[in-house]
This record gives sequence, C-alpha cells and structure tokens, in this order.
Amino acid sequence: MAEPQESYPESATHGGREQATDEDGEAALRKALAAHGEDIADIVARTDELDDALTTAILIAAAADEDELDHITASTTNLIEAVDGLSTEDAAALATAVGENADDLSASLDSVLELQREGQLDDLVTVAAAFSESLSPAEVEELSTMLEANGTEIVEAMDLVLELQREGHLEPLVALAKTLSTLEIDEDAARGMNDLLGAVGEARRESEPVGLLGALRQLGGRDARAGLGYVIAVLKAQGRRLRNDDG
Amino acid sequence: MSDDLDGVAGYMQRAKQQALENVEHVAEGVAAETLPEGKLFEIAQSIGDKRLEELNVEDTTCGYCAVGCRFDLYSDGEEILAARPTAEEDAPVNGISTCVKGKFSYDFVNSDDRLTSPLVRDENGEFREATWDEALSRVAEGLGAIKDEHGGEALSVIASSKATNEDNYLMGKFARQVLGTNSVDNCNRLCHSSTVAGLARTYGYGAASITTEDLELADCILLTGSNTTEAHPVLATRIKQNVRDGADLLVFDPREVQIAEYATQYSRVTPGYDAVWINGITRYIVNNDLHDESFVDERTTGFEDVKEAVQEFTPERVEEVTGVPPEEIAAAAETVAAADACVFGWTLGLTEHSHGTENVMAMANLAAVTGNLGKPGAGVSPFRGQNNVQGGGGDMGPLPDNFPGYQDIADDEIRAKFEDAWDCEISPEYGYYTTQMFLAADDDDVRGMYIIGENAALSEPGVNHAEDVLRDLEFLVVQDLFVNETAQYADVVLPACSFVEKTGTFTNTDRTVQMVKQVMEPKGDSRPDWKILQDLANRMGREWDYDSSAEIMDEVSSLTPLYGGVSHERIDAEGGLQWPCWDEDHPGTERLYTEAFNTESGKANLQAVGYSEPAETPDERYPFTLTTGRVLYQYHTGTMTNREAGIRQYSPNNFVEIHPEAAAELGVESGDLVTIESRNGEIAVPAQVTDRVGPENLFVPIHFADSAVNRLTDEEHLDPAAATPEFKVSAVRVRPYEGEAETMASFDGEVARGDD
Repeated sequence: MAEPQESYPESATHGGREQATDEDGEAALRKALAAHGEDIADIVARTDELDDALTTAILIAAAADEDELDHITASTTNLIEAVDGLSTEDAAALATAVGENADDLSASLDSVLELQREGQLDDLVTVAAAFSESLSPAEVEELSTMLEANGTEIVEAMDLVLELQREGHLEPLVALAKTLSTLEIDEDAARGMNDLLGAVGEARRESEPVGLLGALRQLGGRDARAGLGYVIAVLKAQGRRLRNDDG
Repeated sequence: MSDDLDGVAGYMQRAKQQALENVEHVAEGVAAETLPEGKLFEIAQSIGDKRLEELNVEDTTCGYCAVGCRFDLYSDGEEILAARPTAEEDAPVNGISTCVKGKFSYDFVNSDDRLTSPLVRDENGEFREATWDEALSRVAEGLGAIKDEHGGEALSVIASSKATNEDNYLMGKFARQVLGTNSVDNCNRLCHSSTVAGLARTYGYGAASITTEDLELADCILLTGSNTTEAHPVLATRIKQNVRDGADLLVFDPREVQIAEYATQYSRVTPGYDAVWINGITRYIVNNDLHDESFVDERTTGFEDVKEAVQEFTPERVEEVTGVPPEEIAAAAETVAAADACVFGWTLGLTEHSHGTENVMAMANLAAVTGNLGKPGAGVSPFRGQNNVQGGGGDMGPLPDNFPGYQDIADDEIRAKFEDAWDCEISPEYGYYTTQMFLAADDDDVRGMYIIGENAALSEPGVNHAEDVLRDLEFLVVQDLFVNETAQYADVVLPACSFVEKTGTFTNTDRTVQMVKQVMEPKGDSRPDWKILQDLANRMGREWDYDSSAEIMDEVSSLTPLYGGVSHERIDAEGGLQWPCWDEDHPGTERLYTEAFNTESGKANLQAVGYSEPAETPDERYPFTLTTGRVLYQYHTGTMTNREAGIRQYSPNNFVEIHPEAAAELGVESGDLVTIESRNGEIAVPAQVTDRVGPENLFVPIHFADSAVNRLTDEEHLDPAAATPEFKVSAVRVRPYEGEAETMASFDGEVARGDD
C-alpha cells in the first residue's frame, strides 16, 4: 500500500542530471583555478574586459556579410601582426613568414593551421571564453580537465591572450580562429588553401581578374569540403582588393 | 546544445552557425558566376555531407500510432534533430509521408522530467533515488514475498504496447516463468481486444486481413468509428487519394469527423448501436440477393443463421434505434454490393463498447457475405492505435489466455511446448484481463502489479476506482520514461528507454514486422525493457543470458509458427515481413484468407448477431451520450505529445464538443466552462460549440490529465468476450460551470489515457 507521491528527487531526472553536471564542472573549474594561484586570480579579475573583447570579435564574425568578410580577411594581416607577441616556435615561424604578398600570406596561414592542428588556437579560444556564466556543462568539464592537465601552459597562454587583448589583436585572432575551427580545415583543405593562395599571388602578379577566375576553376577537381566556402570568400575579397589596387 | 545560451558561449554558438552560413552564401555567389551548376550542387552536397557525418542517422519505425511509418532519424547523441524520408523500399506503408507527430514530436526523449535513475520509497514513504542494484533487489523482494505467501496468481503484469516485440515477449515470459501467473495483459484490452476476439471467432486471425496498399486498390471503403485523418493521418491520406481517383467512401460515425468531408455518403449514428445499422445493411443485401453467393457457399458457414438473425433489423427499426434513415442504409448497401472490392475499416468507435465483439462480428459477416475477403482491394482493416499493439500487445502473447502467436494456453500440447522451452510449470487456467485485474484487486485476488509503459491511473475506465486499487496494492512496480500518474503510487519506479534508444521490432496494423533501430544512447541510467526484465529474472532465480534483442527474436520464431521465418537479419535485408511467415523460405503474407480461413474447416464461421445496446443509456437524469476519442496533435495520455511545445501550441487544452442547440438551451458559448457529470464522477472543461456532434451527444478527447475524461467512464460494464470497457458511451449531464474559473487549471502537461 502506497500513498501517491507527486514529488521525487530532481536528481533522478534528465533535467536534474544536466544541472548536476553543470555544477560539478563549475566546482572542478573553481578547484583548478584555485590551484593555479594568483596568476589566474588576476585573469579572473579582468573577466569583464575579456568578455567584452571576445563578444565584439565574435559578433563581427557572426554578423559578417559579404563586405564584412573582407574585414575578416583583412584581419588575417592583423593576426599575423598579433602573433609577433607569441613565443612558441610556431608563432615564431608565423612571424617570420609575414609578408606583403599573397604567397607569404599562404605560408602564414599554413602556420596558423599548424597551430590549430595542435589544438593551441582552440585552447586559446576556449580559455578566453571560459570566463562567462553560460558555458555548456560539457565545455566547462572540458575546460577544467584541460586546466588540470596543462595548468602552467594555460596560464602562460592566458597571459598571451590578455597581452593580445591589450594590444587590440585579440578580436581578429578570435574571429579567424573560430572561423577556421568551425570549418574544420584538414590536410586536404590546407593544401587547397596553399594552392589557392599561391594562385592568388600569381593572379596578383598577372594583374588580371581572369587569372583569378582561372585559378578558381582549377579548384574543380579538388575535394570540395567545408573549408571551400571560406577559401572562396577569401579569394573573392582578395580579388576585389587586387582590382581596387589596380584601379 | 540549447538555443538560449547567452553571453560569450551563446555568441560563439551563433557565430559558428552564422560564419558558416555566410561563407557558404558568399561561395554560392562566387561559384554561380564561375562554376557550372552541377559543380555548385556538388559543392553544396559536400558541405551538407560533411555536416551530416557528425550525426547518427538510422532508419527506424515510428513509435506513435500503429500505421508503421518508417523514416530516417538524425541525432547528435543528445537529441533527435530531424526525421526525414528513408529509402522508399524500406518504408512500405508510408513512402515519404509522415504525420506531425512522427516528424516533430521527440522533445519527450530529452524532457527535463524524463526519469533517468530508479526511485524507491524511503522510511517516510517519500521517493528517493536508488541504484539499479537496490531497486531491482526491492522489486525481487516485493514481488517474491507476495508470490511466496499467496502464490504467483496474486501477481499481475501489464505489458506495454509501446515497447518492442522482443520486450513484450519477455514480459509474457517473465509473468509465466518467473512470477508464475497468467495474469498478463496490455492496453489492447482497452481498445481492439474486441476486434481480436470477433475476427478470431469468425475468420481465425485477430488482425487486419488487408495489406495497406488495399486502401488504394479498393473500389469502396466503409469506415466507422474512425477519426482517420486525426488518429491515423497517413492512412487517411491513402484513403483520400483513392477517393480522389474515384473510389466510394462511406462514413458512419456519431461525429461528422474530418474524413466525412471526403465521403460519398456520411451517416450520423447514435453511439452504442453499431451492430444494428451494420445488420440493417446486411439485411438489405441478403434480402435483395446482392450477396456474393459463390463466396458464401464455398467459403463460409453459418450464412442461414446470419440471414435469419438480421431480419429483425428492418429499415424502420434501424432508423428508430440508430437515427440512420432507410434510404441511407439502402444506398450504403447498394454501394458495397456494387463494388468489386471493398475494405471495411474501423477504429475504437466500433470496439469500445460492452458489446464490441458483437459489433465486430456483425462487420465480419457483412464483409464475408459480400465476398470482400482475400483479394486485392478487399478485406477488413481495424486500424490499430499503439505503435506496437498488434505485435507487442497481441502477437507476442503478453495475454492471459494466449502464448505468442495466439497459441491457447489451455491447449495441453502447446502449453507443454512452452513449459519445456521455459523450464517451468504453467497453469492451464486463463489469467485476468487488465480490466478484470482492477476488479480482482478489490477482492485481494491480485495483490501486486508490475506495470510497464502504461498509465493505468488515467487510462483505465473509471479512474477513481483505479486510483483506489493502485493505492491499496501490497506492492507496485512501474517501469516508464516518466513518473506518470500511475508511478506516483509505485513502491519502485524503474527508468526505461524510448524507442529511439533501443533496437528491436514493431509489428504494424497490417501485420508487417519492421526494424526499430537505436539512434541514440539511453538517457542517464535508463535501460531498455528487455535488459531490465533480464536482470530481474536473474535476481529471481532464472538464468537469462540474451546478448541482444535479435537473440530474443530468434527464440520467438522458434516457438511461434506465425513468426517462424522472422529474424532481425531478414527484416533488415527485406524491409519488413508480414505474418504469417512460417519459415525462412516463406515470403510472408500480404493478404490473409486468399485460399482459406484460419479455422478448422478453412471456412469463415459467420456468427448470428442480435440486438445489443449500451450498458448505460441516456435517461432523464443523464440525458446526453458522451463519447471519447483523439485529436490530431495529441497522442493517448499525452505523456509524449504534451512535452512538445509546438504540439501544445496547437492543442493545449481539453474541451467538450457540444451541439449548438444543446449549447443554446444551456446558455453556454464556445469557451465557457461546463461541468460534465456521470454516475462515476465529474470534470469541468471549456465548451466547443459545433454541429460535428449530434444534439444529444458530447465528445471529449482522451489526452488531458487535469480533466481526465475517464473520471466519467465506467469500469464495470465490460464486453463479455473481450472485457473491453465501454469508453464510447457514457450517460452524462452537463451544466454551466459554477466555481471559480481559476480552479480550472490552465493545462499542466499530463495525460488522459493510453488506449490502443
């Protein structure tokens, strides 16, 4: 004999579990942050600034129309300037690859892709995004795991992020990193970008819009993957820039 | 990922989507100028494929009604993202069609109140979370103690027609082998069990004789008690297409339901007297020599008895009792007789009566005397309700009188086969039907229940009584996705999986056994029913060791001649098999009775059906006849659909349909609250003034818990053969609501009843 019970523990439900995961993740994050001492405390204190900077950068990427994609493209140049501040070997390689023409840009992008393949760009973005209230439970969990495993490096990375932010380079960095990571550029696509950007350089030397379109047609045989859209956008913007330069 | 993230994470989420859209958009523009269209399409396809690679996609069978629609479900592992057409050869019933529920109603899977851990009662009687180990131990102890003290017969199981065939086979096996009771039944008792009884008695099989395609091949379709467009939308589409192409459609119904708009002839009938007008049509046909004489001679017995029995149903008497005028009876009879092939379709309007079996037999007689059986475009077609009530509710034998495949437990040879296979003794005495279980509990003949995927506290007739029974049980275990109204009475609640989280088979309304495939992992600690049953059986002294539901189906086919050639491998390869499928080489059976009926003589045994009337007829105190039913956007007791925001927008609240004349007499308008009262209870609902119902009839849907219409229905008046309750006729009175309007709670998201 049992009297009807309408109430039951929320923890036994799907909704309750999601909330619990969220809380567990946050607790782990707090613990990890505490363990890494004052450096992180300083960073946390500057959360609002960071949040604002990220918000702006991401909004630009999110709202980008055809013209604004020019801005994203242009931001690659900013990115390259920005990575002057990076101290890793990849960053150094990237920095030395900075150049005026598209061939150099191609090499630079290759370096960025290398960073991305190693997960460092993602890490930067994830850490930068962590200090908001609205991370999903999975993201919070991932972040806390990351901090546990690579605390020192992450703190260093955070310093870099803040440095970039102070120098106004964070926005373009995040915008590009997010776009690249969204597109999940793989080896094929990376090669494709190199080839294409090489073609852009060639097109510039030839100073003929037809050359650009010709280069685009060469794309036909390639595996068309998600990165393609971005590459075409870059190409189109570059083409317009070339025409403007010529004009 | 939730859409309502804000702050940076939200921006990121949206930025990710937007950035990709933007670059694709730009790419389109550039590509359109430079690339051939074919290449453009390829690029788009590549981008699409890349995105889809990350999703899990499986073709599966719908878990709503029993039409048996198949489609591809897309999941990211967390939720169902889309339902899209699957290969047409894998969707024999629906092709590319899907109704609103099958396409959109999956929020219930991820609902916040979805139960993901077992619950037990603490020392204060409150629910607390428990491990599976503790919960299963409690169940084993609770059921075991009753079995030890009072015998297995004091226990009963209500199986779930939402679950797979494999789950249901084990529910029947668990009841008989582990608990030692034949009292195992399911929702079919509340809906089509009178169909099963009536058709089994006349033709041999308690199932549709047609294949779905026959709905498009028929020259004539006679529908009764079926709100087809709302309850079985995909079948309705096929019927409407056939009517568009010239077929006749005859609709007999107390309500002028939407399908009646397409009908050649719509006749409004007084609820509760279906055998009367059906016999009236049969009388017209035989008295005018319009019957199929050679079919009657060669393939039936009992024709003379039927001919004699229908004589009392003169046109005048039929009109007096049912309200159908003589010319409409004659027109319908002429149309049926003139058709080369006619399908007779029905839903619960014919069956949910205290004489539902007689109604079905009267219909079976009509189909047989006109020779409309066993040929393309002809036959009988009860439209089953629950997704797997045909297979799980019937074929798999979670029934008090039958083993799987409708093998009678009273037959010594058959019983010996199962005793041998299951290593147990089985009583030859039939157990209790669901409706009888609740009555038997009053006398302490049933002391413990195991209810799986059913919401008896709302779905049983006369739920006030059902609630008393559930409260007084010595032990109750409920296995469900939610803590529904029934689970609130449970000692232990076990979290089960939905059909998107498990693999098995469903059998649809035209006997097609189809694959159900797991699209996502079980939520939290929920488990598929068959695994829960296996753990429990092993705790109670058995050694079940099924590794997969495919193994269970292999056991089913070894013991069940109707399913003798059915296996997961074969269904997957062939895209569905219609039973009977006797062995591995048998192709399955599209249409029943092409050569012979499933009776001893091989002939249809026509049954004389006399006058019958509802158990409760209107009188001065209760002058209205109440019927119940469904609406398109809702499903049964609403446990699934009421968790879908979009569905609730369309159909959030209960209502009563009332005729304008009756409304005017009461002084109520659409939207006004009215109180409906029967001898069993009362509810208050808003009025919907419409001439869809007759002046003396009311209609209330079954989907809403806060004003459950089964407070008005009656638990005692059951069909004598099938024990089906009389949901379709209750004598009631109605008056303007007098209390505070606020007390009519705005809809709070639960149920009204799980019927077939």
